[in-house]
Amino acid sequence: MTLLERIKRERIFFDGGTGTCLQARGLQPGEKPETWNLTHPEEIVALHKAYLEAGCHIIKTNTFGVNKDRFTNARELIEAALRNAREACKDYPGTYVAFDMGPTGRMLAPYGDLDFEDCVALYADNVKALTACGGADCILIETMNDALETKAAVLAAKEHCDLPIFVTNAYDESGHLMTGADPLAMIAMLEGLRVDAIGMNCSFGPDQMLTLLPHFTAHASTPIIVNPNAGLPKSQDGKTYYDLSPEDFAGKMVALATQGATILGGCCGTTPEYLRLAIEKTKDLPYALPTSKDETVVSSYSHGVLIGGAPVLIGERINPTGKPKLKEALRQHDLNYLLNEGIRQTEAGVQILDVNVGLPEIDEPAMMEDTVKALQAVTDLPLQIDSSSPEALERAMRIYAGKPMINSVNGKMSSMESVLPLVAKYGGVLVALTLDESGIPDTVEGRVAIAEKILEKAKEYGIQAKDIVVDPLTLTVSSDTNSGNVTLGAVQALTKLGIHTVLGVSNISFGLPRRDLVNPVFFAQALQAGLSAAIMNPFLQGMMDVYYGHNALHGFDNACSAYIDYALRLDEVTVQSKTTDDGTLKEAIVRGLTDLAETRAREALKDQAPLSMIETQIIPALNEIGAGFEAKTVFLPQLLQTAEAAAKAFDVAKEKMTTGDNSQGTVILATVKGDIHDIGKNIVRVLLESYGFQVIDLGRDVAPETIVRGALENGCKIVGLSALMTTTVPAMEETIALLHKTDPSIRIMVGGAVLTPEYATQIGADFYGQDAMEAVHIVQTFYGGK
Amino acid sequence: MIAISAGSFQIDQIELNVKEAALRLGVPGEQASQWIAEYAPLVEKEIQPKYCFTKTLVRILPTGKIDLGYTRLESKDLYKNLSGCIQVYTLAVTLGLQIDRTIARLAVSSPGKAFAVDALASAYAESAADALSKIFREELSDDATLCPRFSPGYGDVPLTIQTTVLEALEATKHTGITLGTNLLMTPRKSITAFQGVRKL
Repeated sequence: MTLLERIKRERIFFDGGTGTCLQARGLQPGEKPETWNLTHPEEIVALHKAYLEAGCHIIKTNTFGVNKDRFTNARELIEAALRNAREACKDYPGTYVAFDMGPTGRMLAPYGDLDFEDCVALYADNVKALTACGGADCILIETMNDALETKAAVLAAKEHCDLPIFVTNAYDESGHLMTGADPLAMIAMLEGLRVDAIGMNCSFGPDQMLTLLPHFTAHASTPIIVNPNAGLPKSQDGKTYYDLSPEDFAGKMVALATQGATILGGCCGTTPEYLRLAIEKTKDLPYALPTSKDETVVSSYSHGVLIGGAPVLIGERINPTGKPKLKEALRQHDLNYLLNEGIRQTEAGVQILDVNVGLPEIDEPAMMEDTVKALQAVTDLPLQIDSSSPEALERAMRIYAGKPMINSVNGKMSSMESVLPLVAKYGGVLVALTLDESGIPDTVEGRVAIAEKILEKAKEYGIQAKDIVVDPLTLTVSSDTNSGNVTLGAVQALTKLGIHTVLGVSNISFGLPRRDLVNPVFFAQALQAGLSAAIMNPFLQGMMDVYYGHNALHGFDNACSAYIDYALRLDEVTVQSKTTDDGTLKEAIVRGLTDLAETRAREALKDQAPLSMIETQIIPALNEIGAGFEAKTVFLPQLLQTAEAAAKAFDVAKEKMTTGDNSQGTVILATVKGDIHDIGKNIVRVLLESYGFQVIDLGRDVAPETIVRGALENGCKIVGLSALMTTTVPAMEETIALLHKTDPSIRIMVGGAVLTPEYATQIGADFYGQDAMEAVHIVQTFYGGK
Repeated sequence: MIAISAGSFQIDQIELNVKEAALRLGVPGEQASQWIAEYAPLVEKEIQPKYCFTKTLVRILPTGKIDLGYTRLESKDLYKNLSGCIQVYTLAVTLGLQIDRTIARLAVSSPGKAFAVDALASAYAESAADALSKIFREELSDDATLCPRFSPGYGDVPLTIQTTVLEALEATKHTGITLGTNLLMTPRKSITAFQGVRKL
């Protein structure tokens, strides 16, 4: 019987701890357990046999920490580990070998420095070695404490072998992975990736797993694994011990088995004796696999969002259609602008962010990947990857730290054949548009028929109906006054069939004036018809009114508390804007009050030209605080608050200015290759922006070629480079040389903790800025004191 | 084998070091309280301090090398720091990844806030290490005293020792601290250190 058949028939047991047992057998402090595969194979075989003798069914190879970065002989260690495991199993029929893969010990970018594909490659090396050495019965990816790293390991396994994949994560006492994911998020992502069993290991012992297990039984459809530690680690007389005895541990395992875990075992601190007792005590308990769940879930690195209960809001603002500023940001690769749109929508209360970066003149797949990487670093919301390019979809789906929403597939054979395989591989909730080769049907029945066709085709790829949300398409009433009726009718019909729906609601008013009047009405009616999710603009108050009102009226808002919070917040805003009549724009900026500065700037522009406002109010305020900073009567935090308020006022002024006179000049900023410290660079950016300069911020750890390309593409002749570490100054020198070589007219200013004026000259910089104010003076001088 | 203790701090177990906070914010001491009042709540909401440590015997070998029980190294500065010590704590403490995320988000939406939160978080990390030292102090016998903390990368102790320290402490498992190829830790607000126990 294969392992996969076995886990669907009966309760089976993994072995227990390795490190603890090997220490008892003589492993020294600082010695790595994996080296014993080669140096003490007889001990490894003996330990495996002890577990098999105790009644365990699956033994884990002694390969937890093996990868080629940590061990130069990784391949040999893997081969030996497999040999030892097979040797042990050969006298125990009906037992299995799990190839063990643990975390790399490194953090993925952007927080750490491990690139996603490098991480996949590290695991892929192990899987290739496994395959070359004859394989195993399954791969166990365990003790993972990051969602994205877990995904990298799963993809490596899927791409290089056909073995069953089991995954267990380490949850901390708050019920999350160390990097934030809760069980629902992990279940959604891993079932999307179609792993064969999921669960928990290590962590805080069986008691904590008992509290988390209900999340698994409530949401998981795959068999559930629990491999806890023998309680909590304690130390006494210089020795570590775990606080559960074998009897106590076995008692907890009975509870875990009773509550739905079907694959059990041990982790740190457990020994063959722990497992022997646990197996004995659980052998007569009834066995039941998790039921198949019909939940539609998308997830981020931290949490899952359910579609099909309370309506879900999907923010539509990261989409260049009809948004000149966003188009400009995309052309300039200005991720900050996109990220801000994401953060603002998150704060406005949406649950998912749509991400569409399609513009004919840019490299959409690359931009999509960059945007998704950057967005998931600053928002915890799940993303809806929105593109008509299968390549853009795939690049984003691959590096996405969860189960994304995918927008979209349609009823055309070509669309289904290119998009469905991606969802089958990476997982996701797919938006299905009701159009096909013959266009968009103008009847409810026609649209439902296409939805059914897509659902049927998806089945061929193993994609379940629960992972498809149908968009019956919103067409504007300005060209066909019946189109609203057809869309609403389709939502109703699909809802009756148990199919979830989504609409881009704003389209309904395309071509009409005051679209903010019509959209909320249509939104309310669509929700009434059963709409599950809406792609919408959360900055329109009318839309949010409808959302909170609908939830309160239809039992989706316990005690109306969300509605009450919303209403009170609205009141607060109104009161604030009425009572803040103290002081001028200049005073607001000096005091660093960003919101007030914005209000004052709008008022000032009623009877003042933008340029005059800048000259008489914004610049004097900045100069006052800047002079204070230089005289050491004002300090950095205050300077930054003022700069932010000034930048806001500047933005308001720019809205009123005609193109051409709206910028004091452009500056490119970057932290050089190898350096991830960007606080200093960010401070300079804020100050420059507050003085009205347009800053193209290329970010941190930027390669010399990228900086040169940025300067050339934007025709920008002044570049600011920052470095904090002595080790990255050579990268700065290299960047300067390349810039000067490419275009001798480019001027470079440098700054950062390790630099001095002499050092700056030595590496070829044109200017040295001691602090952010000096950087402003340099740029002002460069642009002729504007 | 070495014994590792691990745990986490509740926020009320950490007492913010105001002097450190002022230093990081770049404001005079008497102005610190105003900035702390404004930003500390934001920081406190986003940190989950975790720690692990081990206490080992420390010996000076005839070669001059320092034997920490799990590794040996050569360092005049650490030698000075540990002189007269028979035991040493090796510790790792982190505020967790969430505060890194918060700072990254603020760097986009409000760089001024990002600066202040970043500065205060650094002060909190020091304060979390102080809270851990307090635990050590409570364990001490009457005839012993605790030396100042000494972190890898200071003096002549190379940053490369981080790999050994974090592996010995199983710090990734216990605290989530990871090391990059540049030998910097993620989460960013993390500290590792040696702290000797000196017999009086």
